[in-house]
Amino acid sequence: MKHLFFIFSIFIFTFSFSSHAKINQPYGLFFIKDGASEEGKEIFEVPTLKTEVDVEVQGLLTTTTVKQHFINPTNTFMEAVYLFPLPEKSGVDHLIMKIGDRFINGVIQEKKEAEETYQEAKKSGKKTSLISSSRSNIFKTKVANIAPGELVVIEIRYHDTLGFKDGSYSLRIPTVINHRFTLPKKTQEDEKTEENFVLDPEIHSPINVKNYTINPYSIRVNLNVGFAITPPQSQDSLNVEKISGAHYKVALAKGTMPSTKDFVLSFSPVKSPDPYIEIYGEEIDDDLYLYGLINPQIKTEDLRLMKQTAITVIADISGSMSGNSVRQLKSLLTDFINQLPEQHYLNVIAFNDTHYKLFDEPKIINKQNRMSALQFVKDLEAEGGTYMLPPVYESLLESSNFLMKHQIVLMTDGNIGYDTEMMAVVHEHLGKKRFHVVGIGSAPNSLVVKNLAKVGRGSHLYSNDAKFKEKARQLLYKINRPVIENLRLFMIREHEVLPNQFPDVLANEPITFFMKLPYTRLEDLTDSFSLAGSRNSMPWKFTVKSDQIQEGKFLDQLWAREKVETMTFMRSIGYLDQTRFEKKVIELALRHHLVTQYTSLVAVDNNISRVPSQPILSHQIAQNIPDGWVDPEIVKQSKMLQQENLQTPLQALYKVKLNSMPALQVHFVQTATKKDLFYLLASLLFGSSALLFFIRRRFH
Amino acid sequence: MKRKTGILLLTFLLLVGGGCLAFEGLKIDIKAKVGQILLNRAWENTLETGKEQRPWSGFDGSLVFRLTVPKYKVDQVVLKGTSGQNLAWGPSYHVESSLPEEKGPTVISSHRDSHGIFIKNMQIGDVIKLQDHHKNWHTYAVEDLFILDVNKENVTHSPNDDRLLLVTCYPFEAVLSGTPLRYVVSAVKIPPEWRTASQR
Repeated sequence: MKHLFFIFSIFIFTFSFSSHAKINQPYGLFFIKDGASEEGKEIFEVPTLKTEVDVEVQGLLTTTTVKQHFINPTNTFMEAVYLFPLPEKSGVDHLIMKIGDRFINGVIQEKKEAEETYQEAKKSGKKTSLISSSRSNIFKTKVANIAPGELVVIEIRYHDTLGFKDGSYSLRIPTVINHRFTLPKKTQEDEKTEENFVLDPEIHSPINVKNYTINPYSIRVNLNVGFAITPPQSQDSLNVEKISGAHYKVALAKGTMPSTKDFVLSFSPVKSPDPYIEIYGEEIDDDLYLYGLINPQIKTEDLRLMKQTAITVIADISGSMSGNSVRQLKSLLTDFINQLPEQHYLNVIAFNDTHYKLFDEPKIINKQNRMSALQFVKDLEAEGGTYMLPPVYESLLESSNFLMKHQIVLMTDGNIGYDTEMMAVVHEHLGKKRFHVVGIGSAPNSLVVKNLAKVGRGSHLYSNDAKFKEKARQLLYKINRPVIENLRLFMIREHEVLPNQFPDVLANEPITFFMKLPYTRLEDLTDSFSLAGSRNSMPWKFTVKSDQIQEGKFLDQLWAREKVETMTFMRSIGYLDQTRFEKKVIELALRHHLVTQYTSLVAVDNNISRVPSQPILSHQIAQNIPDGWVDPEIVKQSKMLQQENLQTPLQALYKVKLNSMPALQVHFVQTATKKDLFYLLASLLFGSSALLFFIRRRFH
Repeated sequence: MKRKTGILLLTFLLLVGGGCLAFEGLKIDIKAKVGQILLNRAWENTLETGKEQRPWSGFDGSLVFRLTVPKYKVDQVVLKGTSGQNLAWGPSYHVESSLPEEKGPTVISSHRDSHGIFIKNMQIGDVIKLQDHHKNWHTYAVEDLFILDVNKENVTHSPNDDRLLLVTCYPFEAVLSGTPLRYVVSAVKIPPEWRTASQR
């Protein structure tokens, strides 16, 4: 019995003072021997790579070639893994592996299959490269069997469109992944470990914490937009060569820049009184692909006011809008009503659990009606639920006895759980109406705002500041000063156009469209096709003759990328189920050579470079710390962690110094019971009593 | 003879004292175990009836969600507020943090030596699930593990970052309570659409 006590107390002692658990992460800026165990890993430090970016801008479209030069300075064969960012939704369609003076083209395969192809080639010692993507803006290059001292260049091509904001265009080239946090990935498919997520190397990269940056970027842009622009500008110093008013060549003045921030090139169109239209065409296989751009670069003063329009405003006064949001909504709506011209018609529908209508149908804005509208808005208070469907139905079915255009403006924070139904309702019952959406509050659901406006063929904007007069004016301009209305495409030949319904062309909102004409050659377009609509209430027509079509490049890939985007949208509104979506995307991606979440590009050399018995090292290339993060504390902490072999550079980033601004002041509490203390003291007492008992027996 | 009785008496007293202390320790363990059984039942009833059910009549607190970690066979009911009493019964939700259905981080503390004993074994990639009052499950995956000093540090408040932080005291095996160090398990939310996308 006494022995038991001793054992018990010893057990408690050892248990209490055993060493702390170590936190080991499989991270590193080092080479880890492939397949080697944790302890036996060999560590090397290596230089990494450099990246060359060439951008061709054609209209609003960009084609970018990224060349990644991987160098193996070691005397062992290597596999390099590199995660890199590309713009949102960029369509990667091309991979070339260059070894010396040989070129190996990548082929498109389903993701799993491509990975298998790659692994097999890696194993058999052939040079191989794989491009995959797990998120629309993060891609991964893997290159295996780079010989000692060898240089392998991986060339990737992607397509994107120029961004447009506040009257100016921008070209963005990200060079560093800005994601702090990851969505881990499901790896095993068997039922037991149904939700066993692991850290996802597809979007997680080690961070370079050395005192120098790695992977310099050199950037060159051939900016041929086709319309007159102001000279391009950037935060980085540039060498700009002017070819014409619409064509510039740009390069970095210093040749390279560190990959620590996005490169942004911006320029504005020179305003002109007429909208600018450009069509590009390209024949691929048997089909003809067209890309069109309609850009209303018109000064706002030159926009003409519509004579009449009916406007139904739907105001969200549900509980989620209470407080600041509803005050914003009321101010905006009041300014909006005050600015309405007299010939316009107006109705307001407010809703929460039920809905309240100002008038039965839109009424003309005379003094009296304006007064009652303002009073109606003044009395609004936010409370209750969000039953958005009935008022939206009502507004869509509101009879427009008038010949005038009827437009609906929804003002909401987008806080609804049934957005799919909403989209479907607007999509189905829109008719000739237009549906605009204004996002209210500090964090409106932008997905709801954007997508509803998209199905409603309308425009969207956000109101989150105090400039209500200006916002109301902007909104009204979009409603009653359209540049081109009821835009439609007329063509006799069979064609598919994306988007299949055009929105109105509004000030500062350029429109692009893509077309596919099956079994057509450019010279078959003997009959011209036209874009028609109405401008300033007069019929407007733009005829495109085949000789006006400029020569485009990679239009089929751009078309496919647009198609994937359209299908993603259709899936989000419930018109396409997941299985069919996946099948269609794979089909499209395989045909048009597109890297998507279901497909990857893989290149395999026929020659064997490495005898399988020779070892191969695997190395993941690190990311620089992005510019905004160059907080010395973070860098220091990351370095410290690296040294301590706790290679989780991310961990320092969620932890902040006390009193620093963004701290969520969690009131931490003591989370240990006195249990162990009780047990320890108890075992001490038991132990000493046993000792006494033993001594007593010795006295006998 | 007298001395012998004295020793015997002392031995006896020590035994009784040890027994009392061991009982105190056991009480904490039993409270934590039995409390959870009752809380679990109350949670089931709450979900069924839609009204908050008390685990026992004198219970003063409220149930916020159910926390499960399949890998470690953890299934616990979380209480609202981090009072000492709540912590004795179960993991406790920090009211100053966000709810899982809201944007921003959700913070839960639990005793390192009772409900939170599994925390020290957690690894990156482990799945944590929270069930709220509306029977919705929120799934998180562990992305990061770190130690912070409450006298010097706190955690960031990224309003758009949906995440769950499980907090417990550190070092894990200390006998005495009272330490400025906290061990934090930081898990990101897996959006439902992302999860369906990867299911085949």
